[in-house]
Amino acid sequence: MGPNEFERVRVWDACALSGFTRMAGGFNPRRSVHDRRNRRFFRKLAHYFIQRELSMACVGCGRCAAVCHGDIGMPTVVEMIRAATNEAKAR
Amino acid sequence: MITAPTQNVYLPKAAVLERVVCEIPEVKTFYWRFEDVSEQTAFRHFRPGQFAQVSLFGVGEFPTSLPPSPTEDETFFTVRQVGSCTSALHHLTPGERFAVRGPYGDGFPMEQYYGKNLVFVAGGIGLIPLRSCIVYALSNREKYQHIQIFHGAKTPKELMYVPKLHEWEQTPGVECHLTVDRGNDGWKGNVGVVGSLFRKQGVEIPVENTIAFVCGPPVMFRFVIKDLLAMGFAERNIVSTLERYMKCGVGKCGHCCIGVAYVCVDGPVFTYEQIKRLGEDI
Repeated sequence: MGPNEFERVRVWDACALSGFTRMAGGFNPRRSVHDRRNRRFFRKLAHYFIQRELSMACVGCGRCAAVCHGDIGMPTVVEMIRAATNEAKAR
Repeated sequence: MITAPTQNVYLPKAAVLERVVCEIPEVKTFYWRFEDVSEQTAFRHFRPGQFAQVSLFGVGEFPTSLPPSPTEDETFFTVRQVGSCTSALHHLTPGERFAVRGPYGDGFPMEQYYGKNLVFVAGGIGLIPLRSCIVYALSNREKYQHIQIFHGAKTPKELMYVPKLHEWEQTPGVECHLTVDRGNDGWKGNVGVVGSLFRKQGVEIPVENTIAFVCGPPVMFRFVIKDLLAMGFAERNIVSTLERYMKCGVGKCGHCCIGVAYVCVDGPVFTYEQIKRLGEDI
């Protein structure tokens, strides 16, 4: 590229990283890990997003579960929520 | 060869910086125009409260509110120097090029407010997005009832758009009240927070049929809302613009989500009623 030429590049970002919502002034609406984790699962699976987009944001590809060392991929978390709900119902 | 898609929403359009005006320390106004005249014409149909994305070559892109009113001829941004992109804009000299895309978001529904009283409450650089509404309302003066402007800053030197403020102070039918947190020797006006102006002698804010525009730092926002609600304002009659780091501007990337809303497409203008229902702190 020449001195007066510029290329527009796309850099991947992830909503689980703390810099995702941080603004230049230093304010970060989702500073802590649990805020960002909640955000991720609500965004992908919560009913109000499904109502809004008329489809689920998670396509069920399973890649998150395949690469996650901590086993907090979509299926595990959904299973955890389901188990907790059943437990609460049984009580 | 890969052919470009017919319409790329992310494609910024080249613009030229025309002149720079210092407003307050670290805040400058940048007058610019698109290199392509047809782009300029298309862009000027924005509504007060919308925002645009500014690209600085080699640095990046940032969202900024649009302080000009669509009734004005010039296009400009008023930007505080905080991060790498805004610093790069501050270092541009007139004649240099950058790029702009937009306008994005949903502005203030000024047409719905015809026949109402307007109260503008701005703290510091919160006057930037409200400037657009004020100028718009004043150029359609006969369509609105009473117009009141309350502007507060830290010091007299940090009052925004001083020539405009003087103009508004002189305009008949417009009340313009200024306040500073700390006065100096030359300052004869009010000293105190913006809310203190509401209780000043001779200031009467009509509550019925009134829309309050509030914009400013979170602390100020919280206290002004409290004051307005105490005065009897309905939550749906208080409007504000929220800020987030919008990356795409078109509701795709999710950087600006607050609760269920995307600030970039559902906002940035929200009523206080909506803000409370977002389900997340602002």
